[in-house]
Amino acid sequence: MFKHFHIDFCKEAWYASNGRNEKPQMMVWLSRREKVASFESYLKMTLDTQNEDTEFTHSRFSDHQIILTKQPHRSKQDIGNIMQTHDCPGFERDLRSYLNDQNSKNLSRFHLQDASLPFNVLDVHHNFKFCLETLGNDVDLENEEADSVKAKPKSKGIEARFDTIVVMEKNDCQSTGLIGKVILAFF
Amino acid sequence: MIKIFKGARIGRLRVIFHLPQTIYGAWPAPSCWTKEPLAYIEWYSRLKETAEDDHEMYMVSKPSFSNTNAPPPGDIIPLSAIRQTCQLIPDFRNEIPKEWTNSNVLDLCKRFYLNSFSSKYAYQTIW
Repeated sequence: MFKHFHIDFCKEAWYASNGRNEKPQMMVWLSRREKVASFESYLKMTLDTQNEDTEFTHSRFSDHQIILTKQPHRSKQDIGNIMQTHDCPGFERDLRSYLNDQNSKNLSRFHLQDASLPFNVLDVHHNFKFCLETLGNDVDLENEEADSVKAKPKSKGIEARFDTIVVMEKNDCQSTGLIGKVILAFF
Repeated sequence: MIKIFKGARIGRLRVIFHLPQTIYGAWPAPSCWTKEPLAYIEWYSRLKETAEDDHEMYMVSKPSFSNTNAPPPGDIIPLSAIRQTCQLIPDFRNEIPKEWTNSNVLDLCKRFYLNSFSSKYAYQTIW
């Protein structure tokens, strides 16, 4: 028993540190684990109703499937600039028709050609991570399958990278059918 | 097993973005605009009903245009509609063009095989 005690509280803490000025790091690591453990036992005590579900919620993707950085990689990017650096000449055209669809299609295709967007800058992310749907067989929570996708323009000698992806069509498109007040008008 | 391949389409992710919360500089954005992250995708051709014979990989190609200046077909989709990344193998035919490199082959090559053997996950979901 004592041998294992040594491993848990010393060795693992040592491995968690970066090996420099290690004692404070090990202490912090231990005390954090302690806090998490005590909070976990508190949760178990108070929420003993959902016994089976809680076992699976320690997934790092628990309720959000998508992980984006809090801050966009490029904020307030000019749309013309995005089309150039991301090599997507159809972006503005398709953004216009997307917003028109959101707006219960109040402009015909013909008028849409001359419409302009009500904004000219966008916040842009360069990558995101998400959880792959579990396949039902060999579910392995320890080694959760995550996928990381990039859409990153060229920068300082690093080549641009735009990943190829599998998209599910007509999945949750229906749920956005909210008819809001039409405030937006394309001029 | 989850049937991912019914209704799936292959595309190239170009931009990940959020819609702004203000329009025309100061006005609040319409309430029907989503706050969810969105993605701009350029599409490859639709998948056939079944994969090709022999290797059982699907074939995708870039849409060809009569007007070469027209931008490729694309769409704005919610980021959550993206199911997985995929690997495309260029269709080399008889000879590999010298100008193809790993950074530009997706732009230069027109036809690809969808690699369903790139990972165990891909093997189990792409069929």
